[in-house]
Formats: sequence, C-alpha cells, structure tokens
Amino acid sequence: MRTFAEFAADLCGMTVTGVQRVYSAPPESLNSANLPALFPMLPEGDLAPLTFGAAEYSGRRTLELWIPVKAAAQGTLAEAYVGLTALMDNLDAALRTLNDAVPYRLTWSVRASLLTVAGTDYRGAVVTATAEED
Amino acid sequence: MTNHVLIKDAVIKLNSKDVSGNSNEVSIEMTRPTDECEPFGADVVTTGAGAMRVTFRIRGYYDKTADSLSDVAEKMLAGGTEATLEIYPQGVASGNEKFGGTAGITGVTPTFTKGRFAVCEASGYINNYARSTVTSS
Repeated sequence: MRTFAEFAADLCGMTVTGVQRVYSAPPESLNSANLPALFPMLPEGDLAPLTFGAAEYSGRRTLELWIPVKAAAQGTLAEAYVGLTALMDNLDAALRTLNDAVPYRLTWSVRASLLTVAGTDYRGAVVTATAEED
Repeated sequence: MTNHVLIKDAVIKLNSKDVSGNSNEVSIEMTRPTDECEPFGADVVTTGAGAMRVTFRIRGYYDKTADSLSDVAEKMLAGGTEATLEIYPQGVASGNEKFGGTAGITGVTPTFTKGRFAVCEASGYINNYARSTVTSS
C-alpha cells in the first residue's frame, strides 16, 4: 500500500492544465499571480492484514486537494462559473491520466467550494481522492 | 474467557510448499452421507452412516510466482497428482493442532476483477485424513 506521503506526492505530481503553482503542503498565504494553485491537505487512511502471517495488507488512503482559483471578492459569478467548470474538467482529465499510471484503485470526487486560506476566501475546487488496495 | 480460537497466523503447506502468505481462509469439510437399506419385505428403511469423506478448500490471492498457492494447486490439478496437505490453524508451534493427509486437487479458480487484487481458490479431497497435535516445531 502507498504510504501517506507517497499518495500525496502522486496527486501533487499531476499536471493540471491551468494550474499556475503546485505546493507540496498548505501554503501560509497565496499570491494572486500563483492562482489557480494546488496543494494537499492532511490525508487519512487505514490498513488491515490480508493473509495469514500478514504478508500483505489491504488499505485505503484518502486526501483532499484544494485548488483556489480567485479571491471571492473579485470578478463576477458568471466568470467564476465558467472558470471553475473548466478547472474541474481539467482536474478530471489529470486524475484519469494518474489513474492509468498508479498500481492502486484510484477514485475521486470533484466539487466547487469556497476556500479560506490565510483569512481570505477564494472560489475554487476541492478534489477528494482515494487510493484503495483490496 | 472462552476457548474459541482466534486465527491469525495459520500455516498451510500444500505439496510441502508453504502457501500461507497467499491464503486467508481454509476450510475442511468432513461428511458421511446417509446410507439407506430397504430389506425385502420390511416396512421401515434401515438408515446408517456411509463412509467418511473429507474435502478442503483454500481461499486466498493469486500470485504469479513459483510455489504460490495458485501455482502449486494448478500444477497438481494439471498433473492429476496427489501430495501432502498440512493445515496448522494456529501455527506450527508444539502443542498446536494439525489437520492433514494426502490431497488431490479437483478445482482451481483464479479470479481477476478490475481494480481488485486477483484472488484464487483451490479445492479438493483429502485421503488418509488425520487430526493430530504438533509435537515439535
């Protein structure tokens, strides 16, 4: 089973069209020049012995990616809608490409959300990705 | 506390190969089919137990390497050969129980499902079945 760190690295290693900067950990603050940005939140998961002697384990890793796009106070709702749906399609495409490359079962959900980073609200997307081996 | 047995590290040897690392369930089925006799002119059928039959089933994971559960079972099936089967539900330590005999394989079922570990099931019969206690490990 992938470690938590490896799974986070898998997701942060994706190339997502339109994303300007990828952080390997949540940033202290965001510069508008780096938006849309992508970073991981803390993962969660579990493991269970699969065979006699615990030679193998089944397991699950789940991790949220935050992708803030633009400060909520800027732009119009129509612009945000167009930008977010395009970003969600790009995230979907990147996750499909990652799924072809990894040795575990990858599933994900993508949703638009209001994200608060360093006290500022941003419109953006959240990916909840899960790696499973069983 | 009860005397129920929690299984963690069972050891299964098929044809002297330890296939425990591919396995997570093993079962032994002991049966005697009902025999019936209807004596001429009798009003009631006489019923009794027939000869004992012992079969087994090992469930686990498909492994493409040599001497894995799927490899050993498939070779025995293809060759129609019989070989020793040893089942130690609580491991091979002295004082533990051992089930075994001479096994023949009558079924091997590797199953491949998208997004899942490939699994394998092997089943067959046991001749010269015996349950004993391990005296030395």
